[in-house]
Amino acid sequence: MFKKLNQTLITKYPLIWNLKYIWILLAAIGINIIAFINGFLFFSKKSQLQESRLFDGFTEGGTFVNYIFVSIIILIIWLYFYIKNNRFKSFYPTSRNYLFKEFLALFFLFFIFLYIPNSFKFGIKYRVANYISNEQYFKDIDIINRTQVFTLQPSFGYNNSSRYLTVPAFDSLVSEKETKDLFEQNFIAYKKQYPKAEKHFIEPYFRNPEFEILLEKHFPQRKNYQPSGFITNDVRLNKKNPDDYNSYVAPNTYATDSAMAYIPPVEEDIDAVKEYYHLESLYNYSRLAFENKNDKSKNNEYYDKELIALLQKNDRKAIAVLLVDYTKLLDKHEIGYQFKKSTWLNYIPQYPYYFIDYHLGKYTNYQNDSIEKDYINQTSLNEVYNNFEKAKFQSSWLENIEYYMMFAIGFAVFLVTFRFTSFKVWLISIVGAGVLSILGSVLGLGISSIFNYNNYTPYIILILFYVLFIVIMSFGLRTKQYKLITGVNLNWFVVTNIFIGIVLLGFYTDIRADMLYDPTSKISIYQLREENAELRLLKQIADIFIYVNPILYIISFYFIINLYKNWQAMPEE
Amino acid sequence: MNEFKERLKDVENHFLQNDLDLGYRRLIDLILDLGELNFYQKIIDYSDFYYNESSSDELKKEKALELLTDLKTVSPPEYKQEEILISTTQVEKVYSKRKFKLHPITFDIKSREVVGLVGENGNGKTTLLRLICGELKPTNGEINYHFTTAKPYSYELRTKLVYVPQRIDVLYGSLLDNLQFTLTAYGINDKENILLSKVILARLGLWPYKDLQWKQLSSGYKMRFELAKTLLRRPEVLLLDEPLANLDILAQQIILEDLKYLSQSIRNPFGVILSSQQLYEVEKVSTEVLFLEQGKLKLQEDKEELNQNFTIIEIDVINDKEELLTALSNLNLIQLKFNGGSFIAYFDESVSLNKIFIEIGKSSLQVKYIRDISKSSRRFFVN
Repeated sequence: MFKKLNQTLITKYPLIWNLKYIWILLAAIGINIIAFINGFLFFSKKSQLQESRLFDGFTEGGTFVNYIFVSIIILIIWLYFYIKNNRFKSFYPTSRNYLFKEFLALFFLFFIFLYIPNSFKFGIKYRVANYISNEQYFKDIDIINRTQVFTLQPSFGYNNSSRYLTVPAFDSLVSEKETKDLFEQNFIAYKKQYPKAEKHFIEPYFRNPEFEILLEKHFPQRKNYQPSGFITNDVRLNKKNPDDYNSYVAPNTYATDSAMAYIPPVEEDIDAVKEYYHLESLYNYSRLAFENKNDKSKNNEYYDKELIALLQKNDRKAIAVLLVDYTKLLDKHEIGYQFKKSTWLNYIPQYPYYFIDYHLGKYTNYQNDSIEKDYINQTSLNEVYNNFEKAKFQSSWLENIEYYMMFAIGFAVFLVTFRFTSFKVWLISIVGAGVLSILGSVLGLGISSIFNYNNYTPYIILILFYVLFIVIMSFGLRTKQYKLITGVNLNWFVVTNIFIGIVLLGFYTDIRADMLYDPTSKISIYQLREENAELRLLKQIADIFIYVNPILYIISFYFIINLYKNWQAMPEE
Repeated sequence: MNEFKERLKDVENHFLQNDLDLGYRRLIDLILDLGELNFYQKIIDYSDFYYNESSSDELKKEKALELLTDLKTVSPPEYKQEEILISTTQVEKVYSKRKFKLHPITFDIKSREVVGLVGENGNGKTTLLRLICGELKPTNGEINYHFTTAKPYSYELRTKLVYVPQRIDVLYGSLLDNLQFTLTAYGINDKENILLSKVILARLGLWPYKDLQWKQLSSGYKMRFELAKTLLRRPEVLLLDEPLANLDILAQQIILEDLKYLSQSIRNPFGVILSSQQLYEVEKVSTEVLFLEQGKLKLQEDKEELNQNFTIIEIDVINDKEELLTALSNLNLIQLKFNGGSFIAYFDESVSLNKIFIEIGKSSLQVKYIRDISKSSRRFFVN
C-alpha cells in the first residue's frame, strides 16, 4: 500500500512526495490530537473548576515545553528527508506555481504545529463542557442568579445607584421631581465654582446621588459614623478636589457598575465628622451572574423583577428554599460555606426595606479569630459556572489565530529562504540581520543626538533599510552582479515584508495622532487615541490588518518567487 | 540503410561475437532511441534475466537476438542532424580576488561531440565549465547558446544546461524514487515514468542495485547514478567536472564509453564537455581535447611546437636507461626524458613507430608498456 501511495505521489504529486507532506501532516495532526487528549485528561479534579485560568493549562503547567521539544524533534527528522531533494536548486524545470504551492504547504504545516495550544484548550473545554448537561447548567445558573443577591458579598450592587427598576418601598418616599429640583440646585452652585462642569441627570432618577440624600432623611436610624462594607465608593465629592467629580455616567444602561455619578450638597462641610447612612438594600441588587444562552427572556430585568416581587411578598420560605438549593450546588462542587452562630437565613435582612446589617464575605477575609467565621464562597462557585459557560458557549477555534498565522509565515519564510537561496546566503542573512539591528540602533542614536530623538526615528530607520534592500536587490538582479549581496538583500526584503505593512500603519497612526494632538488641551495623547474618531478608525483598521496581513503577504509572495528564480540563475562573483 | 538499422546490426554483431556486456548496453541505447513503452518493458524483463545468476550466456544471447528481431520490425526513429550547440568567442575570465586568469578561449561544441578539457589542477578547467553553464560571467567575450531562445542567465537556460560538479549533491531515498522524481519534474508521468527510470538504471549498470538507497552506493556507482539522473533530463549540453575522479580504471572506461555512446543518440543527441586529468582515457572518446595550462589553451598557443612534428614515444622497460639508449641508438633519437616511472623518447618525425618496434625487437629490452603520444596531449605532461 505504501509503495503504491509512494508511486502515485512521486509521479502525480511530486511536491507532496518531496515534502513528505502526508507523513508530516499526519504527525502534525497527530500531535494536535494528542494535545486534545492531553487537554481532555488535564482536567481531572473537581477543584480545577474553581480555577480562573483553567483553560490556560497548556502554558501554566509547563506542558508546552514537552510539545515544543517533541515538535522540534519531529520537524528536524522531517527536514532531513525534505531538504535533500531540491529540484529548484538543481535547475529542474520548476514553475512559479510549484514554488508557491511549496510555500503554502510549509505555511499550512507550521500553522498546524502552532495550533497545538488551541487543541489542548479544546480538550479541556470538551471535558468541562460535558461535565454537566446543558439542561442541568441552565437549572443551576437559574439558582445562582436568583440567590446571588442573598450571598451578601462585600461588593457593589446594594445601593440605589445599582438598580434600574422602581421599588415602591423607597420610590414612594422620594419623587422624581424632588430629586430633580435638588439636582438643579446643587448644579447651579457647583457650576459657579467649576464653569466647565457638564450637566448629567441620570435616568432613572433614583440612581442620582440626590435621591440618596433625600432618602436619608426618611431613615435617620440608619445614620452611622462607620462606612458600610458594601459601599466601595462612598467618598462624596470634595469641593476642593474637583477630580473626584465623575462627570460621565452612561444613561439607562442596565446593571452597570459605573453608575456612580455624584453631585454633592453644596452645604457639605468637608471638615465635619463624616456621617454615613446605611441604605443598602436587597431591593437594589441588580447583577446578573450568568446569561441564559438558551432563554433570552431570562435576562437581568427578569431576575430583577423576580427579586423585587419575592421581597415584596416577604416569602422567607421561598428564600430559604433558594438558599438550600444554593448550598446543594456548593456541596456538589465541594465549595466551602460555614455558619457557626446561625443559619444563613438569619443573615437575610427583614421586610419591608431589607436594609443590610450583616454580610457574608469570602473565607479568606476572615483571618482574625475574633471575627465570626461564617462564610459563603460565592466567587468559587461563580468561577465554576464561569468555566462551564466558557467551555459550553465560547469557541476557541479562532483564538489567537492571527498570531499563529504570522508565526507560521515567519517559519515558512525561514525555511523557504533556505530552499530558494544557498546555505551561505541564508546564513549571512540571519547573522547579518543581527548586525543590521545593531547598526540600526547605532544609527538611531546618531540621528537622535543630531536631530533630537523623536518617536519616528525607529520607523524612519526601518523604512530606510527597507528601501535600501529593494534598491540593492533590484540593482543586483538587473545587472546580474553581486549574487551574494543580492541574495542577502532579497531575503531581508522578503522577511521585512512580513511586518512592513503593520509598521507603516503604525507610523501613519503616530503621525496623525501627533498632528491631531493639541498640547494646550487637557486631554492626554492616550485619551486622544481612545476618543478621536479618525484615530479610533485607524486602530480598528490595525486590528483588522493583523488578520489581513498574512493573506496579503501570501499573495505578494507569489510575485516574489520570480525574483528568486532570477536570483538562482544569476552568475556568481 | 538508415542509422537505426546500422546500429541494430552492430548490436547483433556484439552478441554474435559474445561481447554480451557491450551488446546489452548498446541494445538499451537502441530502445531508448525508439522510446516505445512496450520495448521499455521488454528490456526490463530482459535485464531481470540478464542479471540472474542462473542465466547462461547462451540463453542471454538467444533472448537478446530475439529482442533484436522484434526491433527490426519497428519503424526507426528519425535521425536528428548534428548542430552547433554552443560557441564561445574569446571568452575570458579574470578573478578580482585571485591572481588566476582564464585567457581568451574560442571553440564550438556540436551535438554528438565529446570535448575533453584536460590540464593540471588550478589551470581553469572548472572555471571554463562554470562560464559555459552560466555560473560565472565572463570578463570579456561571448558565449552563444544556439539550441535555445532562453535569455542568458535565466532559469530557463539553466534547466537546459546540465552541470555536474565534482562534488555531487547528497541525495535521500532510493535510486528509483530519485529518478522518478527527476522524470516527473520533466513532465514524464504515469507508466513511462517508472519504466524509463528502470531502463536508465539498467543502461548505467545499476540494475543489481535498483532497490538500494542512494547512500548505500559506492562513490563510483554514485557517479553512474548521477549520470543516469542527468541523462533523464535530456540535456542539450552536459557539463561534467572531473567525473572520473575517485573511479577505478574500469569504471572510468565504462563511464567514458557510455558518455560517447549516449551522446550519439539518434533521437536525442547532446554535446558533452568534460574535464579530467585522465588524458589517455579522455582522448580515446573525445572528438576534441582542449589542453589548458595556467589558464591558456595550450593546444592553440603551442601550434609551432606541434608543427615540429616529433615522433614521441612513452615507453616503460625493466631495463635501465643505458640499455634503452643502446637499443635505440640506431634511430635518430633527439631526447630521452624520465617522467614519472616511464621514459619519453623524442625522435625525428621521419622515425615511424614500426621502425622503433623493429629496433626494440632486435634488442634485449623487456618492454612493459609503449605508446605513441606524438599527437596526444600527454606530451604536455612531461617534466
